[in-house]
Amino acid sequence: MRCMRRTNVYLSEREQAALQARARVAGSTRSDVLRAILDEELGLAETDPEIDRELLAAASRIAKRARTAARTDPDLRST
Amino acid sequence: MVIVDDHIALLAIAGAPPAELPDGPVVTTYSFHFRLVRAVVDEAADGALSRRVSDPALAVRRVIHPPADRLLVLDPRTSTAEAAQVGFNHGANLLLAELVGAALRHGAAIRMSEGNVGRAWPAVMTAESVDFAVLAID
Repeated sequence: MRCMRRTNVYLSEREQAALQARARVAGSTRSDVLRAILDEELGLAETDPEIDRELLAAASRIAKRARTAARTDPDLRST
Repeated sequence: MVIVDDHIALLAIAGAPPAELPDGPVVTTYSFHFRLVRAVVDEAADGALSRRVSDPALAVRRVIHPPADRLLVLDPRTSTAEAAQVGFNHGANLLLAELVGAALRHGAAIRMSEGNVGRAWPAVMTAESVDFAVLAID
């Protein structure tokens, strides 16, 4: 289980009803549904250390590629 | 707030930002994010990414929609007025105008990698009193 902290959030009646409905259909809790929505919106849903390592290893080449492609675009050139 | 270029943004997405940056997420501009996404999409399309990355589609998604605790992409509309003024004052292109305009709007510092600093950029940063530095990236 992830380390979590309690947070109070004000929701409208419509939001609460929608959250409750989603949780009921999913056989889950409102907290689980809220966390899933937040993770998706904030880009936290897919965490893969292998992807991190691979992007890091390719970072210099990708950055060079970005610079090279931008040379032909007056709006995006950095040099 | 620290605004970074596409190279440093990619390092931040991968969870390895330069040590000189403060803890917490960094931000980048829409134009630099576009350049980064374009390069990653190109890599995926020609197979360069798949030679190294086990799931290229996941890697592309991660760059398009970065984890918000590592990198945030600024909405360019919030600093359009400042960017336009920078463009007028210095004849800056969109990339530079958006970058400096965002720094002025948000009171942010700018940190760039060496390869991404145009010759005229330091003078523009000085003229606009922007906290600007170039980081050496391995």
